[in-house]
Amino acid sequence: MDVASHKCLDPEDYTLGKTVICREIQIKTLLALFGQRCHLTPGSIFVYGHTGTGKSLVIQSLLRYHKLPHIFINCVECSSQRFLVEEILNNLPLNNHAGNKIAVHADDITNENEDFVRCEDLTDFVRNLKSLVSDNELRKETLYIVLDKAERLRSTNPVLLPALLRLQELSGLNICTILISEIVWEKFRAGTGFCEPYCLNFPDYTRNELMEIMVLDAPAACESELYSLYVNMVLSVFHMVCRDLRELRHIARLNFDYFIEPVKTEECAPSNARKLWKNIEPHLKKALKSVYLREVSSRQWELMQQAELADDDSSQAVAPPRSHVELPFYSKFLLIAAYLASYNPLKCDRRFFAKYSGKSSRRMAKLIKKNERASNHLLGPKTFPIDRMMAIFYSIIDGKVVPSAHIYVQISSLVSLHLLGQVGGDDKISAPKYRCLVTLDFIRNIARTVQFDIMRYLYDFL
Amino acid sequence: MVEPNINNYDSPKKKSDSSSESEQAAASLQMVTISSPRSQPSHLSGNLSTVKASPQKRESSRLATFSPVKGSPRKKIANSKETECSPRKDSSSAVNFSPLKNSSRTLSPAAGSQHKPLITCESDQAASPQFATISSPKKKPAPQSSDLLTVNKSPQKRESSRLAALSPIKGSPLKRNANLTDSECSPRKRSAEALDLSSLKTSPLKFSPVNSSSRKSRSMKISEDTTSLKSPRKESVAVANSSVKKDDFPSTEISAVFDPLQEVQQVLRKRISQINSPPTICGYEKERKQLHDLIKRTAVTGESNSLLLIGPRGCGKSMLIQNVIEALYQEKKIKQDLLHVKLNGLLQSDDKIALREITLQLQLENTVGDKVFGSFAETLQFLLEALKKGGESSKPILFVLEEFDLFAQHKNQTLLYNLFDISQSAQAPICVIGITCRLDVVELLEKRVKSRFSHRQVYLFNKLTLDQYRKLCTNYLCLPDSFRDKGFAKKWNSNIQDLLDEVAVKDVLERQFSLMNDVRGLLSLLTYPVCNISAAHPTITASDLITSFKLISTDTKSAMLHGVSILELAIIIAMKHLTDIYEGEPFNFEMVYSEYLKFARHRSGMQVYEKAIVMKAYEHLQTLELIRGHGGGTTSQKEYKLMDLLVHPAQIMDALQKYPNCPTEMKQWATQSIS
Repeated sequence: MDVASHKCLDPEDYTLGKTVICREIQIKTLLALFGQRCHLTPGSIFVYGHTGTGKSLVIQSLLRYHKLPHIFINCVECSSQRFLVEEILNNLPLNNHAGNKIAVHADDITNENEDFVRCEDLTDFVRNLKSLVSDNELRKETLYIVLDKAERLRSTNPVLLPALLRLQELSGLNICTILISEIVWEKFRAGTGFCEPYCLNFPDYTRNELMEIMVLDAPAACESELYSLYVNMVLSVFHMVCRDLRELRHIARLNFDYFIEPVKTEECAPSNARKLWKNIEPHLKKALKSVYLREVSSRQWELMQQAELADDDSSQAVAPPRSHVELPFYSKFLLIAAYLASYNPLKCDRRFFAKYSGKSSRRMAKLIKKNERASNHLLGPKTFPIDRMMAIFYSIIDGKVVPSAHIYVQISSLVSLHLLGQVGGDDKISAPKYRCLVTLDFIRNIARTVQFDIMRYLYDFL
Repeated sequence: MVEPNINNYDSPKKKSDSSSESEQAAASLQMVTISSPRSQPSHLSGNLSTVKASPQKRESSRLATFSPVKGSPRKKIANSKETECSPRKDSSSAVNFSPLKNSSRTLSPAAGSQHKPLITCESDQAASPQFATISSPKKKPAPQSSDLLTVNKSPQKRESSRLAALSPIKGSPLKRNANLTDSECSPRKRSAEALDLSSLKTSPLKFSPVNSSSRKSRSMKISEDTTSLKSPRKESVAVANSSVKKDDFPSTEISAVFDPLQEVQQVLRKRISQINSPPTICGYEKERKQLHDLIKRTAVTGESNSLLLIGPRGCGKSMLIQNVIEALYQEKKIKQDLLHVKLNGLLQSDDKIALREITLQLQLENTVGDKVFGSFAETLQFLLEALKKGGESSKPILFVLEEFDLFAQHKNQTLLYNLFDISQSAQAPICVIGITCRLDVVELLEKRVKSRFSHRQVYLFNKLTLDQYRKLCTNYLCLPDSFRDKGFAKKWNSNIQDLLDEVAVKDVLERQFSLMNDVRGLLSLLTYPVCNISAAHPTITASDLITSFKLISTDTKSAMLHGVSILELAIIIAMKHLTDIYEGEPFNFEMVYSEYLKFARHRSGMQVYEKAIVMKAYEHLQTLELIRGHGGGTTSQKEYKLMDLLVHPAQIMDALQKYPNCPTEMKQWATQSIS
């Protein structure tokens, strides 16, 4: 163990051998907190920052680079306390003693993983940890237990998190618990027994830093200058909306073919930034509306891209419609009726649907409008009884419809499609009430297919 | 003069009301030896009883007459312990060297009390002798003991006859006891005599050390019973080694060459870690004395007590208890007698686990074995009985329950009920100390538990003044007098003194004090400067402290807001306006979106994003828990789900100030809403 040899830190160390860039200050602080291998560290460190700011990366590569004994656990994988503590106990970085362990237990080998430590509760955990660590060379060094996505721990046993934060105190060992989360520390405090960790913020990358990192992705065929131009273009579209490095890199990779195509075909010189921008901008805007929202998968996007690049017309590539549901004819009208019943105030039904609409109604409407706090499209759908919906249905549909079981079946199938929500009516006595769950865009699409001008009937848009 | 002895014969169930512990020890041993020699089939006690038979009585009777001698036999043991060798080592060496020594142990009255620490006192030691043999006698009727019993019958008789003529011996034992404290020579001589009497040649004391790791101990238990007995020496040597190693650990020497800076790092880092003990305690003198007296009464006079120590987090409750116990352990007699059981509400999440932990800490796991008990109380009773079985009445036990309020949440509060019940009745001397930060903790107790609690409560409050706070800071940063390089320490300390006199540092301390006036706040302030000490940066400077203060006092939410995108920031501002307009009423996405549209369409040249993109930003804020669902609303579409904004307007303004390249119109919009 070269515990004594404390390397004199040069700039190289703050980038961990140039594997991590733009996080020098954080690495420096962390290294200071860690100290040398044998030093006691603060008992718990809480690292927080936005997703994609290099929290896990920095800590993991820091621990690996300096070969510090550590356990890295993603709390998504360890959903319960038992999984977590067993994971820790069975993955302790016990150097060179693994063989001995098995030898000791040679007499009670019954199954193949006989040295798997079982641990039910925290008392056992701390005792096992103590005995495992203090039997080992490990006790001379700080053991780092890193828990990624630590916010998940809040939903398990309420004493688990306080116990982990106090692990140093409870076990008397040189242990440092590092929690990584994108949620601020204040949200973790619940219940009792918390020992405040040392909080460390990982700030977001600035735009220039984002550029610097994203340029590293440049494909071999592309000059870095050209790629940085491209990255700049991507950022100019996406930076306003999204700061997540992972998402940006994903978008950049998907759209690169569009960007490089005119350069490849020598339609345009690599130096002609303006023309390149003109070429790429619509694609990026489209990506913002589709890939970014996960409406098409990246595979679909690539297929579309290939098809588009293959023939120059690029006309037939149609983005898949966003909300398109094919319904029976009467169901469409039922849904429209439900929407009108949900979003229109009850009082104006007469005005919209009665045959004789007097002039006074307009004044009435204004009066009602004043009393309303805000439009129903802001507050959400109201519930309505089935009679009201049926009345609207009969008045908006052309021709005579016989009230039959078929109609009512369609209502219940709309409910099971989650286009309508049913409120109450579980018992036989009270009549069920409904609420329309579709958006305005959706209902407008539906109305268009049956040539029904729904906007004329909506109170909010008069 | 003879009376006490007779009493002892007659009342074998004598309770712990007698004031002299050693007397009791002797008495009960005697009781064992005389009243029931046949029922002692186990190795050790068999041995003890037989070998001891003769001198034992003498001793006890002597003690009855000469009370001033009381303390001495224990002292002797403690002396022998002082030289790092546990009694285990003693005895094992005794086994190895000669029967003489061995019997010398058993001869002295201290021997009675000696095997008691073996069972219990060394809960922190790496290993302990396995005493299953004592308490589970049915397992193995040791052949030797029966032999010995026969051998010893005659001396026993002689002794009892001698009792009548006690007076001639009276004088000498006093001297001898005094000698005992000085050296081990005299008892050995004496034991030679005794040995002659009993003509005992082989007295293999059997100890089977148990390894500290319970896992191992469980798996190796059987094998040890059979094998390790053969080589007690080796085992105990190994154990001794391991314990030495363990002791070395905290002060491990890193380099052969003494590096003062290294040492400084070690010392200071230890202070800011969780396993620290403060350099000095300021305040709490009264409370400290109260605790000290209370525990001492339990330890010395066998009085049972219960107490609650209540105070806010970080005010030094556990530290105070720790300090008091350490101070008490300075007294060797108490260190030997008093057993310490530490429980923590965070770890022992139910009573079954707690009981198992108590068993382990009292090192009775082998005694309990796989016995099945009917009830919790029965088990606890058995444990306490087992502690008595060492051949004397119960030893005092100190129970410290940290996070006491969590124990009150256990089902039926069984553990608390039983502990308090024992502390009320005269079963065994125990002292139960609960540590908690809840002021209403007594209200958490059930009626039947509450009635058994002594209602002795000590409140600790953080009464640090700014001056004390500064002094505390100095204490934490200064090197102790025991530091090896005196010159360096002196220089360091004067440096620290200078540093703390600087205006900027005083200002930082004052600000931290006004934020958080407890020790933990101070420690978190000192963490960064202390960690920053290195060869390249060998002192603590004012700028370190200022940086550290900046680091720990950054508002976390503002820091997070710094990293959101412009769109997200825009919708946060929209939410802020909505919260303002509707006076704290919750909002939904549609409202936020329409507010955002009003701004984006009319007030700015910014690009207007469509609903789905804004929705994604909205959901991101939800994952960051900057907004949260308003409880109570029926779950409908996510657009209409009512939400609350969890960011304070001041934090938003703060973030806007620092936000890089923030559009001016956004700043304006944030300050004045569109009405």
